[in-house]
Amino acid sequence: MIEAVGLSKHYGSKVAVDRISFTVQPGQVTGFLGPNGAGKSTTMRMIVGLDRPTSGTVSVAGQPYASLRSPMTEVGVLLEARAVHSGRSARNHLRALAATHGIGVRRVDEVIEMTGLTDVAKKRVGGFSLGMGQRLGIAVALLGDPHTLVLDEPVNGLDPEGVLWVRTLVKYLAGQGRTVFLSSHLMAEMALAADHVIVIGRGRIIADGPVDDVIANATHATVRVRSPQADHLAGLLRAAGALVEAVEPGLLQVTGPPAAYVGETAAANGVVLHELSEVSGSLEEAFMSLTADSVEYHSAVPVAGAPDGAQR
Amino acid sequence: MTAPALSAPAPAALSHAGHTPVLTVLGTLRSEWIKLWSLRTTYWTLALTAAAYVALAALLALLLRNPDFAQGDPTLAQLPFVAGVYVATIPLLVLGTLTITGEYSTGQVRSSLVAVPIRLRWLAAKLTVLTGTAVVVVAATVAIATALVTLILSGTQAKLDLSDPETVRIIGGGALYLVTIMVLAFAVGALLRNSGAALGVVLGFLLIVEQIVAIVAQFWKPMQAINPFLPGSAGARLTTPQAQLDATNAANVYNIHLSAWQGYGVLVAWVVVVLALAAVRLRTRDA
Repeated sequence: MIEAVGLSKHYGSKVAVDRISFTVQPGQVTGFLGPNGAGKSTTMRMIVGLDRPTSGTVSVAGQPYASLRSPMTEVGVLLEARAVHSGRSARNHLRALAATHGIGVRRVDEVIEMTGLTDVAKKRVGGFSLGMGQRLGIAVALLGDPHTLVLDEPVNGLDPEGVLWVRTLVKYLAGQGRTVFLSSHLMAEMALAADHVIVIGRGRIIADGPVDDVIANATHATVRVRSPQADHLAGLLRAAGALVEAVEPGLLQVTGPPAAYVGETAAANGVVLHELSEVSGSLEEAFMSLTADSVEYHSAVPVAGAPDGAQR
Repeated sequence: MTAPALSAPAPAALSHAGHTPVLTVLGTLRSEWIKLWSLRTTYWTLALTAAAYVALAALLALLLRNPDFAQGDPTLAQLPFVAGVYVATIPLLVLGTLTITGEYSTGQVRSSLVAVPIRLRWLAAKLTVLTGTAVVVVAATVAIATALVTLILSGTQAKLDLSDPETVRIIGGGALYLVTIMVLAFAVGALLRNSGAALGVVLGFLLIVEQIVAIVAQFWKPMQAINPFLPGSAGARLTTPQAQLDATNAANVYNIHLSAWQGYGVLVAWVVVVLALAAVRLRTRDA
C-alpha cells in the first residue's frame, strides 16, 4: 500500500506537485494518468525517495521508503528515464543491484529469462533499443519479488507483444495481492490494464476512483439513431429535453435519455428506426475532458479524431 | 536488434535459499565491487597507472646507469619513483572522477539510490571499494618498480638504498599520494556530478593551474602565500627529496615552511572538505 498525504514538490517557483493525497491499495492495478508535465514522474520519484517532497509525506507499507529494511523486496521500481550505466552489461547491472540485498545470481538469471533478455544479457546496455532498455528496467523492478510495484510508463517503447505481456504481468501480480501503481499516457492501454485510476493534472488530483466510475462521471453516454424520419424524431426528443445533434442526414446523436427511451418514443410516434445503439464514453474521452484545463503543452494541431472542418 | 519473446508472466518465487533478502553494508560493498569491475574504464586506467609508473621508473633507472649521471649522489636513485608518481597520477585521477560521475551522467545513480536509499552508505561503499582497489594496485605497482629499479641499479654508483628513511618516505609516500589524490578526484566528482566538468576541474587544476601558480609565484611574491596550500603541490611534498623541499621552503617569502608530512596533511584536509561538501549535497539534493 502506498499512501501520500499533502504531498508537494516545488522546483523554484514552479509547482510540480500541489498538495496531493491518495492511497494505492493492494490487490488491484492502479493507473496514474496525466498529461506531460502533470507531476506523475515527480510523484513516483518522491515515493521512492529520489526527490524530497517540499511538504507532505509519502509512505510505502507504512514507512518512508528510505527507512525500509529491505527496499527491493518491498518495492520494485521502474523509472521513466533510463537509469543504467551504458558501459555495463544488462546482467552485471542486475547482479550489482541484486548484491545490495544479497539476492543471488539465480534470481538474476530468472528475471533475465522472464523479460526475454537472455540473448542480450551480456551485451553492454549502451547499445540497447528503447524496448530492450524498458525490459531491463522491468527486470530490475522484479528482482526482489516485491510486494509493491511502482512503474513509470512501463509499456513505453515496447512492441505489441511486450505491451500485452506487461498488462498480463501487472494483472497477475495484483491478483496475488500485491500493490501495483503504474503511470501511462496511453489511455487505451490504461483502460485495459487498470482497475482503479488516479488522474493528475498540473500537480493536482482531478479524479480518483474505479476506471468505470471515472469514465462514467467524466463522459456522457450517447445514443446513435438512424431513421428515415430523423427530423421528426429529433423534434420529439428535443421537446423531451434531450440534446440532439444531426451527424448526417438520417443519423442523430442523442445525449441525455437512454436508448430505451429513444426507442419507445419512436415506437409511440410511429417513427421507423434503422439503427439504435448506445455509445459509452472511453477513458480517453474522460481523460481529455478531465484534463482539458490542465494540459501543460497544448498542441497546435486539432485533437486526433476532430473533424477536418476545424480548419475553417 | 530484434526483441526476443517475453516468457510467461508468472514470476517464479524469489530463490530465498534459506534467507530473506535484506539491504546490508556488506551487500552494498559487494554491489560496488561488481560495478567497479564491470566497466572497461577500471581496467584501462589501472593498467595505464601501473604501466606508466613501472615503465618510467625503469627508464630513468636505465639512464642512471650511465656513470656521467651517477656521481655517487645517494638521492639520485629516488628520481625514478618521483617521475613514476607524476605520470601515474593522470589515469588514476580519471578513474577516481569517472567512478562517481559515471553514475550521474548515465542516470545509473537513480537505480543505485533506489536499491540503497541510505545515500551516505552508498557513497561510502563506493569510495571504500575504489580506495581499496587503488591501494592494492598502487602498492603492487610500486613494489614491482622498486624491484626493477633495484635490479637495474645494482652494481652502479646510484645504488637504491632501501634502508635510507628518506628513500622509503619518497617511495611509500608516492604510493600514498597517488591514492589520496585519486580520492580527491572522486570527491570533486561527487560534488560536481558531471563527468566533463569534474574531469576539467580535476585535471585542469592539478596539472595546469597549479603549475602556472608555481611559475607565477616566482615573479609575483603574493602568490607564494597560496602556492604551498594547493592540494597537488602540497601533497606531492611527500614524494619530494628533502634537499628540494628545503630549497622550496627557503625560497618562500612568507616563511611558510611545510614538511613532507605537513604538505600531505594539507592534501588530506582538501579531501576531507570536498568530501564533506559532496556528502551534504548528496543528502540534501534530489538525485
